[in-house]
Amino acid sequence: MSLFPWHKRPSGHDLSAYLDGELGSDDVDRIGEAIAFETLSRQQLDDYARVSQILDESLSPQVIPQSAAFADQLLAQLVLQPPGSGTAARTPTDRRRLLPSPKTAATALASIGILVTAGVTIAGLRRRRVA
Amino acid sequence: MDAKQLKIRTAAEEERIRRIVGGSAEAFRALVLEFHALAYSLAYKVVGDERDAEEIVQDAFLKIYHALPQFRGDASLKTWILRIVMRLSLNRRRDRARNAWHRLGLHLLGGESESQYDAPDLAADPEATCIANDSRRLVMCFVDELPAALREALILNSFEELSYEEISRILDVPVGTVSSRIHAARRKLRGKLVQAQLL
Repeated sequence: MSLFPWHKRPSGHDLSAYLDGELGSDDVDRIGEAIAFETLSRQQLDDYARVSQILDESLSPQVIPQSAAFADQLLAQLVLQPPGSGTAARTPTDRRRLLPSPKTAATALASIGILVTAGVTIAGLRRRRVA
Repeated sequence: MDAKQLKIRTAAEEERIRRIVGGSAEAFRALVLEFHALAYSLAYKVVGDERDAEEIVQDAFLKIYHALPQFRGDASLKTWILRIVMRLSLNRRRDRARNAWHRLGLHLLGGESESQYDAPDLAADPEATCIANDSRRLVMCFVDELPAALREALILNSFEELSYEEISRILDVPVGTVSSRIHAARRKLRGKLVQAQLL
Protein backbone atom coordinates (compact mmCIF):
# COMPACT_ATOMS: atom_id res chain seq x y z
CA MET A 1 0.00 0.00 0.00
CA SER A 2 1.19 3.50 -0.81
CA LEU A 3 2.47 5.75 1.94
CA PHE A 4 1.25 8.66 -0.15
CA PRO A 5 -2.36 8.03 -1.18
CA TRP A 6 -2.38 11.11 -3.45
CA HIS A 7 0.14 9.40 -5.70
CA LYS A 8 -1.59 7.76 -8.61
CA ARG A 9 -0.49 4.17 -9.04
CA PRO A 10 1.31 3.70 -12.39
CA SER A 11 -0.39 1.45 -14.89
CA GLY A 12 1.10 -1.86 -15.92
CA HIS A 13 1.58 -0.40 -19.38
CA ASP A 14 3.70 2.42 -17.92
CA LEU A 15 5.74 -0.02 -15.83
CA SER A 16 6.40 -2.15 -18.89
CA ALA A 17 7.61 0.86 -20.90
CA TYR A 18 9.65 2.04 -17.90
CA LEU A 19 11.39 -1.32 -17.75
CA ASP A 20 12.33 -1.01 -21.42
CA GLY A 21 13.66 2.52 -20.99
CA GLU A 22 11.01 3.92 -23.31
CA LEU A 23 9.57 6.71 -21.16
CA GLY A 24 10.40 10.41 -21.14
CA SER A 25 12.24 11.90 -18.17
CA ASP A 26 9.07 13.22 -16.48
CA ASP A 27 7.42 9.82 -16.60
CA VAL A 28 10.62 8.14 -15.43
CA ASP A 29 10.63 10.38 -12.34
CA ARG A 30 6.95 9.70 -11.69
CA ILE A 31 7.35 5.95 -11.95
CA GLY A 32 10.59 6.01 -9.95
CA GLU A 33 8.78 7.79 -7.16
CA ALA A 34 5.88 5.38 -7.25
CA ILE A 35 7.97 2.24 -7.10
CA ALA A 36 10.01 3.68 -4.27
CA PHE A 37 6.91 3.86 -2.08
CA GLU A 38 4.41 1.38 -3.47
CA THR A 39 4.93 -2.29 -2.83
CA LEU A 40 2.43 -3.38 -5.46
CA SER A 41 4.02 -1.37 -8.24
CA ARG A 42 7.49 -2.49 -7.21
CA GLN A 43 6.32 -6.11 -7.16
CA GLN A 44 4.77 -5.78 -10.59
CA LEU A 45 7.92 -4.21 -12.00
CA ASP A 46 10.07 -6.96 -10.47
CA ASP A 47 7.77 -9.57 -11.98
CA TYR A 48 8.02 -8.00 -15.43
CA ALA A 49 11.79 -7.87 -15.13
CA ARG A 50 11.86 -11.53 -14.13
CA VAL A 51 9.56 -12.44 -17.05
CA SER A 52 12.02 -10.77 -19.43
CA GLN A 53 14.92 -12.62 -17.83
CA ILE A 54 13.19 -16.00 -18.04
CA LEU A 55 12.22 -15.29 -21.62
CA ASP A 56 15.77 -14.44 -22.53
CA GLU A 57 17.13 -17.59 -20.90
CA SER A 58 14.54 -19.79 -22.58
CA LEU A 59 14.36 -18.44 -26.11
CA SER A 60 17.95 -17.52 -26.86
CA PRO A 61 19.95 -19.99 -28.94
CA GLN A 62 22.44 -22.03 -26.93
CA VAL A 63 25.08 -21.59 -29.59
CA ILE A 64 25.34 -19.10 -32.42
CA PRO A 65 27.19 -20.39 -35.49
CA GLN A 66 30.44 -18.61 -36.30
CA SER A 67 29.74 -15.47 -38.27
CA ALA A 68 33.10 -15.52 -40.09
CA ALA A 69 32.61 -19.06 -41.40
CA PHE A 70 29.05 -18.21 -42.42
CA ALA A 71 30.20 -15.06 -44.25
CA ASP A 72 32.93 -16.95 -46.14
CA GLN A 73 30.48 -19.66 -47.20
CA LEU A 74 27.98 -17.08 -48.35
CA LEU A 75 30.56 -15.12 -50.31
CA ALA A 76 31.71 -18.29 -52.02
CA GLN A 77 28.14 -18.73 -53.28
CA LEU A 78 27.85 -15.14 -54.39
CA VAL A 79 31.24 -14.84 -56.06
CA LEU A 80 29.85 -14.79 -59.59
CA GLN A 81 26.70 -12.81 -58.90
CA PRO A 82 26.70 -9.02 -58.87
CA PRO A 83 24.17 -7.61 -56.40
CA GLY A 84 20.75 -7.05 -57.87
CA SER A 85 21.32 -9.54 -60.67
CA GLY A 86 18.51 -11.64 -59.24
CA THR A 87 20.14 -14.75 -60.65
CA ALA A 88 20.89 -16.44 -57.40
CA ALA A 89 22.50 -19.80 -57.95
CA ARG A 90 20.81 -22.72 -56.34
CA THR A 91 21.88 -22.65 -52.74
CA PRO A 92 22.56 -25.63 -50.49
CA THR A 93 19.28 -24.73 -48.84
CA ASP A 94 17.45 -25.16 -52.13
CA ARG A 95 19.26 -28.40 -52.79
CA ARG A 96 18.31 -29.64 -49.37
CA ARG A 97 14.69 -28.80 -50.08
CA LEU A 98 14.76 -30.99 -53.19
CA LEU A 99 15.75 -34.03 -51.16
CA PRO A 100 12.86 -35.75 -49.38
CA SER A 101 13.07 -35.80 -45.61
CA PRO A 102 13.25 -39.21 -43.90
CA LYS A 103 9.61 -38.82 -42.90
CA THR A 104 8.49 -38.10 -46.46
CA ALA A 105 10.54 -40.98 -47.81
CA ALA A 106 9.08 -43.38 -45.21
CA THR A 107 5.53 -42.23 -45.98
CA ALA A 108 6.12 -42.64 -49.73
CA LEU A 109 7.56 -46.13 -49.28
CA ALA A 110 4.67 -47.17 -47.04
CA SER A 111 2.15 -45.86 -49.61
CA ILE A 112 3.86 -47.79 -52.41
CA GLY A 113 3.83 -50.93 -50.25
CA ILE A 114 0.11 -50.59 -49.57
CA LEU A 115 -0.66 -50.03 -53.28
CA VAL A 116 1.39 -53.06 -54.36
CA THR A 117 -0.26 -55.28 -51.71
CA ALA A 118 -3.72 -54.09 -52.75
CA GLY A 119 -2.90 -54.70 -56.43
CA VAL A 120 -1.65 -58.22 -55.79
CA THR A 121 -4.72 -59.02 -53.66
CA ILE A 122 -7.16 -57.72 -56.28
CA ALA A 123 -5.34 -59.62 -59.05
CA GLY A 124 -5.50 -62.80 -56.92
CA LEU A 125 -9.23 -62.39 -56.31
CA ARG A 126 -9.90 -61.84 -60.03
CA ARG A 127 -7.87 -64.94 -60.92
CA ARG A 128 -9.86 -66.98 -58.40
CA ARG A 129 -13.16 -65.66 -59.80
CA VAL A 130 -12.12 -66.53 -63.36
CA ALA A 131 -11.02 -70.02 -62.25
CA MET B 1 23.81 8.94 -27.82
CA ASP B 2 21.41 6.35 -26.42
CA ALA B 3 22.14 2.96 -27.94
CA LYS B 4 18.42 2.29 -28.25
CA GLN B 5 17.74 5.45 -30.23
CA LEU B 6 16.48 4.98 -33.74
CA LYS B 7 19.15 5.07 -36.38
CA ILE B 8 18.12 6.21 -39.81
CA ARG B 9 20.18 5.71 -42.90
CA THR B 10 23.45 7.55 -42.43
CA ALA B 11 26.13 8.72 -44.83
CA ALA B 12 28.27 5.80 -43.70
CA GLU B 13 25.49 3.37 -44.55
CA GLU B 14 25.06 4.95 -47.96
CA GLU B 15 28.76 4.56 -48.62
CA ARG B 16 28.63 0.97 -47.47
CA ILE B 17 25.68 0.18 -49.75
CA ARG B 18 27.42 1.93 -52.65
CA ARG B 19 30.49 -0.26 -52.13
CA ILE B 20 28.47 -3.49 -51.91
CA VAL B 21 26.45 -2.63 -55.00
CA GLY B 22 29.75 -1.80 -56.69
CA GLY B 23 30.83 -5.37 -56.04
CA SER B 24 32.99 -5.05 -52.90
CA ALA B 25 33.03 -8.48 -51.29
CA GLU B 26 34.84 -6.99 -48.32
CA ALA B 27 32.03 -4.53 -47.65
CA PHE B 28 29.37 -7.24 -47.89
CA ARG B 29 31.40 -9.51 -45.64
CA ALA B 30 31.58 -6.73 -43.03
CA LEU B 31 27.80 -6.31 -43.26
CA VAL B 32 27.26 -10.04 -42.75
CA LEU B 33 29.66 -10.14 -39.82
CA GLU B 34 27.89 -7.23 -38.17
CA PHE B 35 24.36 -8.58 -38.44
CA HIS B 36 24.71 -12.36 -38.63
CA ALA B 37 24.44 -13.08 -34.90
CA LEU B 38 21.45 -10.78 -34.49
CA ALA B 39 19.71 -12.25 -37.54
CA TYR B 40 20.37 -15.82 -36.40
CA SER B 41 19.10 -15.11 -32.89
CA LEU B 42 15.91 -13.57 -34.23
CA ALA B 43 15.26 -16.46 -36.62
CA TYR B 44 15.94 -18.98 -33.86
CA LYS B 45 13.62 -17.24 -31.43
CA VAL B 46 10.82 -17.29 -33.99
CA VAL B 47 11.19 -20.85 -35.31
CA GLY B 48 12.92 -22.56 -32.36
CA ASP B 49 15.05 -24.81 -34.53
CA GLU B 50 18.76 -24.47 -35.25
CA ARG B 51 18.74 -25.85 -38.77
CA ASP B 52 15.75 -23.80 -39.80
CA ALA B 53 17.34 -20.69 -38.33
CA GLU B 54 20.56 -21.31 -40.29
CA GLU B 55 18.63 -21.74 -43.52
CA ILE B 56 16.53 -18.65 -42.90
CA VAL B 57 19.60 -16.51 -42.25
CA GLN B 58 21.29 -17.82 -45.37
CA ASP B 59 18.20 -17.08 -47.48
CA ALA B 60 17.89 -13.66 -45.85
CA PHE B 61 21.44 -12.58 -46.67
CA LEU B 62 21.13 -13.82 -50.25
CA LYS B 63 17.95 -11.79 -50.55
CA ILE B 64 19.61 -8.78 -48.95
CA TYR B 65 22.55 -8.99 -51.34
CA HIS B 66 20.30 -8.96 -54.37
CA ALA B 67 17.85 -6.39 -53.00
CA LEU B 68 20.43 -3.85 -51.81
CA PRO B 69 20.31 -1.79 -55.02
CA GLN B 70 16.58 -1.29 -54.38
CA PHE B 71 17.02 -0.41 -50.70
CA ARG B 72 15.18 2.91 -50.36
CA GLY B 73 16.72 3.92 -47.08
CA ASP B 74 13.49 4.84 -45.33
CA ALA B 75 14.74 2.79 -42.40
CA SER B 76 18.17 1.86 -41.10
CA LEU B 77 19.97 -1.12 -42.58
CA LYS B 78 19.51 -2.98 -39.31
CA THR B 79 15.73 -2.49 -39.35
CA TRP B 80 15.54 -3.49 -43.00
CA ILE B 81 17.62 -6.63 -42.48
CA LEU B 82 15.63 -7.68 -39.42
CA ARG B 83 12.37 -7.09 -41.27
CA ILE B 84 13.51 -9.51 -43.97
CA VAL B 85 14.65 -12.09 -41.41
CA MET B 86 11.38 -11.73 -39.49
CA ARG B 87 9.28 -12.20 -42.63
CA LEU B 88 11.21 -15.29 -43.71
CA SER B 89 11.04 -16.74 -40.20
CA LEU B 90 7.28 -16.22 -39.97
CA ASN B 91 6.83 -17.79 -43.41
CA ARG B 92 8.85 -20.82 -42.34
CA ARG B 93 6.84 -21.12 -39.15
CA ARG B 94 3.57 -20.87 -41.05
CA ASP B 95 4.66 -23.44 -43.63
CA ARG B 96 5.57 -25.85 -40.90
CA ALA B 97 2.28 -25.32 -39.10
CA ARG B 98 0.53 -26.27 -42.35
CA ASN B 99 2.56 -29.42 -42.60
CA ALA B 100 0.33 -32.39 -41.84
CA TRP B 101 2.97 -33.89 -39.60
CA HIS B 102 2.77 -30.87 -37.37
CA ARG B 103 -0.98 -30.45 -37.71
CA LEU B 104 -1.48 -33.92 -36.29
CA GLY B 105 0.94 -33.12 -33.49
CA LEU B 106 3.11 -36.13 -34.38
CA HIS B 107 6.30 -34.10 -34.04
CA LEU B 108 5.53 -33.80 -30.33
CA LEU B 109 5.99 -37.53 -29.93
CA GLY B 110 9.74 -36.99 -30.10
CA GLY B 111 12.53 -38.56 -32.07
CA GLU B 112 13.00 -35.79 -34.61
CA SER B 113 14.75 -32.53 -33.94
CA GLU B 114 11.74 -30.50 -34.93
CA SER B 115 10.79 -27.16 -33.52
CA GLN B 116 10.25 -27.17 -29.83
CA TYR B 117 7.42 -24.74 -29.96
CA ASP B 118 5.49 -24.47 -33.14
CA ALA B 119 2.46 -26.68 -32.72
CA PRO B 120 0.47 -25.51 -29.73
CA ASP B 121 -1.15 -22.81 -31.87
CA LEU B 122 -3.18 -25.55 -33.45
CA ALA B 123 -3.46 -27.96 -30.57
CA ALA B 124 -6.84 -28.50 -28.95
CA ASP B 125 -5.38 -28.28 -25.49
CA PRO B 126 -2.09 -26.42 -25.63
CA GLU B 127 -1.52 -26.65 -21.90
CA ALA B 128 -1.78 -30.43 -21.93
CA THR B 129 0.26 -30.74 -25.08
CA CYS B 130 2.99 -28.65 -23.66
CA ILE B 131 3.48 -30.53 -20.44
CA ALA B 132 7.18 -30.98 -20.20
CA ASN B 133 9.70 -31.63 -17.51
CA ASP B 134 11.97 -28.93 -18.64
CA SER B 135 10.98 -25.40 -17.61
CA ARG B 136 12.73 -23.96 -20.66
CA ARG B 137 10.50 -26.00 -22.89
CA LEU B 138 7.49 -24.97 -20.87
CA VAL B 139 8.33 -21.29 -21.28
CA MET B 140 8.66 -21.85 -25.03
CA CYS B 141 5.20 -23.39 -25.02
CA PHE B 142 3.78 -20.44 -23.10
CA VAL B 143 5.30 -18.03 -25.59
CA ASP B 144 3.87 -20.10 -28.40
CA GLU B 145 0.40 -19.91 -26.93
CA LEU B 146 0.44 -16.12 -27.12
CA PRO B 147 -1.45 -14.52 -30.01
CA ALA B 148 0.91 -14.06 -32.96
CA ALA B 149 0.96 -10.26 -32.78
CA LEU B 150 1.91 -10.28 -29.09
CA ARG B 151 4.49 -13.01 -29.58
CA GLU B 152 6.23 -11.16 -32.41
CA ALA B 153 6.44 -7.93 -30.42
CA LEU B 154 7.70 -9.77 -27.35
CA ILE B 155 10.38 -11.65 -29.28
CA LEU B 156 11.67 -8.46 -30.88
CA ASN B 157 11.61 -6.73 -27.52
CA SER B 158 13.84 -9.44 -26.09
CA PHE B 159 16.68 -7.85 -28.07
CA GLU B 160 18.03 -5.09 -25.88
CA GLU B 161 19.37 -3.19 -28.85
CA LEU B 162 15.93 -2.77 -30.41
CA SER B 163 13.85 0.22 -29.37
CA TYR B 164 10.06 0.38 -29.64
CA GLU B 165 10.55 2.68 -32.62
CA GLU B 166 12.67 0.09 -34.41
CA ILE B 167 10.26 -2.71 -33.52
CA SER B 168 7.41 -0.61 -34.91
CA ARG B 169 9.30 -0.24 -38.20
CA ILE B 170 10.04 -3.95 -38.39
CA LEU B 171 6.43 -4.92 -37.70
CA ASP B 172 5.02 -1.95 -39.59
CA VAL B 173 2.68 -0.86 -36.78
CA PRO B 174 2.57 2.35 -34.70
CA VAL B 175 4.87 2.68 -31.67
CA GLY B 176 1.88 2.84 -29.33
CA THR B 177 0.68 -0.50 -30.65
CA VAL B 178 4.11 -2.01 -30.04
CA SER B 179 4.08 -0.74 -26.47
CA SER B 180 0.58 -2.13 -25.83
CA ARG B 181 1.42 -5.49 -27.37
CA ILE B 182 4.57 -5.86 -25.31
CA HIS B 183 2.73 -5.06 -22.13
CA ALA B 184 -0.15 -7.42 -22.95
CA ALA B 185 2.32 -10.20 -23.77
CA ARG B 186 4.21 -9.64 -20.53
CA ARG B 187 1.01 -9.69 -18.51
CA LYS B 188 -0.21 -12.90 -20.09
CA LEU B 189 3.15 -14.58 -19.75
CA ARG B 190 3.45 -13.49 -16.16
CA GLY B 191 0.07 -15.11 -15.39
CA LYS B 192 1.15 -18.38 -16.99
CA LEU B 193 4.50 -18.40 -15.23
CA VAL B 194 2.86 -17.75 -11.88
CA GLN B 195 0.40 -20.57 -12.54
CA ALA B 196 3.27 -22.91 -13.41
CA GLN B 197 5.14 -21.74 -10.30
CA LEU B 198 8.03 -20.51 -12.38
CA LEU B 199 7.66 -16.99 -11.03
